[in-house]
Amino acid sequence: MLTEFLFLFLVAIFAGFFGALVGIGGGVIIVPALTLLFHLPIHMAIAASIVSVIATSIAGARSYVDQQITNVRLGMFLEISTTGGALIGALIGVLMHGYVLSLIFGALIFYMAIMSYRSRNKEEKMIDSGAYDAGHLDGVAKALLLEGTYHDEAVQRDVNYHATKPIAGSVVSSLAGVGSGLLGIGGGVIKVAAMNTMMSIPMKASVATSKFMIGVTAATSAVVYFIAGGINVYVVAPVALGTMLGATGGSLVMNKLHSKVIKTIFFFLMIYLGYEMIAKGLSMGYNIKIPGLM
Amino acid sequence: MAIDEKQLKAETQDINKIVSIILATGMYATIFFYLIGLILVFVRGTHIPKLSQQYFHSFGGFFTSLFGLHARAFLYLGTIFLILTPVSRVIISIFAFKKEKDYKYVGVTTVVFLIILISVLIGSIFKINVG
Repeated sequence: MLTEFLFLFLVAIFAGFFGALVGIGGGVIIVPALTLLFHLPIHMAIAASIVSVIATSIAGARSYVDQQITNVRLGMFLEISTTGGALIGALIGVLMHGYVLSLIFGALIFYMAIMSYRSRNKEEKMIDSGAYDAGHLDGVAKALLLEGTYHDEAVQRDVNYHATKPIAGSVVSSLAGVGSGLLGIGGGVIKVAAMNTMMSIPMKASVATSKFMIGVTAATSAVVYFIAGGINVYVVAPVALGTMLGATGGSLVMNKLHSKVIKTIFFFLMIYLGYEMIAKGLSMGYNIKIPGLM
Repeated sequence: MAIDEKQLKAETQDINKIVSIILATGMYATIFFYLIGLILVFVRGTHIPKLSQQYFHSFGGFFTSLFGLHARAFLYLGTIFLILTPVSRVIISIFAFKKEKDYKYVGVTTVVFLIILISVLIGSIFKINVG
């Protein structure tokens, strides 16, 4: 039983470490690990994952806020839609059958694996400060002062930016919230995409603001799971501590590794986990046995 | 828009500082209670329950467990601190924006807080059947 705690802790360190390398909270690794390796019910795995997502978010968010990269106003504005989405997602998640969750999770993992693999050769040329500064604030963005400046260490200067399409960005962000409540993930990938590609926010400010929001989004769904009785504190504690530790380590070595190598490993891991989750869902819900690898 | 750029920047830095302090406090409190809880688990050799359950039926039960140095009381406390850290960040931001007389963001942040309150209600209506 003590080895069980240690094993949970080690798996969580791995998830946190790897999550930090590819820029995610680690929920997409933790949920399959808890259901497939520890045979925990998926609702319990999702609840544990959502709490550990809060843990990694707090650790990461603080460092970005200190570095003044986070746009607190933009984060607060988008939190209306991410917490709203989280509420709906958690409600659906609590009411849904476990096998449906396994199948949705499997499909999501496949999708994320493919998206990540396709962008593996893309270099970090997203930050063109001139282009970001050229945008102008429209209606809601102007009323809510959705603009900012941060100091980019790589290019050694301040980057100014102005948000565009705040409503569209906020609608897409609500999907990240639903994913968080339903599946126990942070949904950072969706939030960053919404801010960076739709709202013209520089990549670093998007990542920092997304990390800042994930804590509140995840807390909203965690409250639902906590009060509804889905949280097993004996599982949550080692998992949350492990992901915090792993994420801290991961963020330290991230810059030293080639992103192409990381993304290729991530791709194969995800394809494997996605296959296992779908196999589990089919077997639980429809009694269809497809050959499992575990 | 009356707020000039310099004022906005100073105000933003104040709010950033407050947010950072809350996040740090919550994180260390969580780690502290989790570590005590896990040490108690190792010392007392508790099993991991396979099902989540209602740990305490009353506040009294919780305190009995806490002062009796039961692992679950500390693990429970750590989890509460963890979940409440982002929530308290939202609550305190409402007052921070109010102090800066930024009433639009007092409104925005209050809406976020109300959504979190609704999640408390929803959580108490539905019970999860894990197993």
